[in-house]
Amino acid sequence: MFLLQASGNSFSVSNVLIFGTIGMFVMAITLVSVVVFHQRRVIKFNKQLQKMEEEKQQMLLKASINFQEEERQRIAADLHDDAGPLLATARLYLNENLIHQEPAVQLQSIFSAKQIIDDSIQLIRNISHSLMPPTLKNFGLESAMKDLFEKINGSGVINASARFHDNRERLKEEQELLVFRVLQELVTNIIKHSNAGFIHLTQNVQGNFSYFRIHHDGKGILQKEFERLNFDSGGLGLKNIESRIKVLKGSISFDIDSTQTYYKVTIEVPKEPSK
Amino acid sequence: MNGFDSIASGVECIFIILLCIYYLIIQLKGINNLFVYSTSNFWIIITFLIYLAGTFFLYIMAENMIQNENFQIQYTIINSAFNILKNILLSIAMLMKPTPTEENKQKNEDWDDFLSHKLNN
Repeated sequence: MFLLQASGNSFSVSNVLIFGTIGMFVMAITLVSVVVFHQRRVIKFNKQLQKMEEEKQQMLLKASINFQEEERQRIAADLHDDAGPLLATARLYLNENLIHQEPAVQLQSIFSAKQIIDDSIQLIRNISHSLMPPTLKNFGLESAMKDLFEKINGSGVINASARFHDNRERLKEEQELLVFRVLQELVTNIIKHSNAGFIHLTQNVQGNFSYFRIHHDGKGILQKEFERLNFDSGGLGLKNIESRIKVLKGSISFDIDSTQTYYKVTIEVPKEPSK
Repeated sequence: MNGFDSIASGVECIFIILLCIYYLIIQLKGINNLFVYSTSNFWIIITFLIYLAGTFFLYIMAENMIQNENFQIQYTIINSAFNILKNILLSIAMLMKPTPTEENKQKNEDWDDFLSHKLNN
């Protein structure tokens, strides 16, 4: 300012004034524009993220509803096709009793009806066990998994084993059921798609987390493939796994060991001990 | 005009411009799903920012150059232009619809319920 005063050149002074004013004005406008455009971009990005999250949630919800429907259909089919005819036959035998009064025939038909009712009881027990394995409720996850693996080993096609390193404290009942369902689905997938010769399950505890890891020597999937399949319209089982893991507030990762031989699936579950 | 204090005006301009920039930075950092230009606060702030940025050089030169006729003409033109711009921007700010807060929304809904209850009985 003193320089301007000293020079006394009115032309240069008015130049300074005009350019200075224009410069300040442009600076202010640029600043405002930057803020507005940046905020618009951030909001757009946030909305996109929100939309993606909503789509994912909807997909998971759809998958869980579909799964429930499939399960209901299976139970309905089991009851209708197996239990229904058995009970109807038992009813026929008992009707026979009303018609034939001879004790020998009556005894024979009562015996047959008893056998059919026994079969029905066994059938209903099987349906109930497939819905909620009693071993899981009474003896915990370790026993339930060992039970499942024993059944798998019985087929002689695949060798399944489980080792729980730190299972002194059981998880909460709901958590155990969710983990069991996830492991069951993973094992089913391995048997169905991977052509594996063995499956080995290990359990560990580190800090406040329980880790379940399944090793197998078949053709598995990696994390990227899991995420891709999860976003596809198919893959109901994988979506169920994802939604159950979400309920557990845990995480799941698919990878391969350093020798590129064994595929690994690791589930991390925050520990909530049973009361 | 003769008693114009350029230093005080300059300091005031810088201070208010800095406050405006601070407000804009806060808006940039904040997580808000509301567009910044849909609030009247934003228009008031940019009014101050643009007006003071535009007249900053004018004010700091005014004390020494006020006797210069050429400067007086420029002063009138620039000051009037930015005054008009300031008034336009302030009018926009005044015309902005206030965005209801959650609390006010609830109050309005309660009031609506109360009115409909009164009308029904």
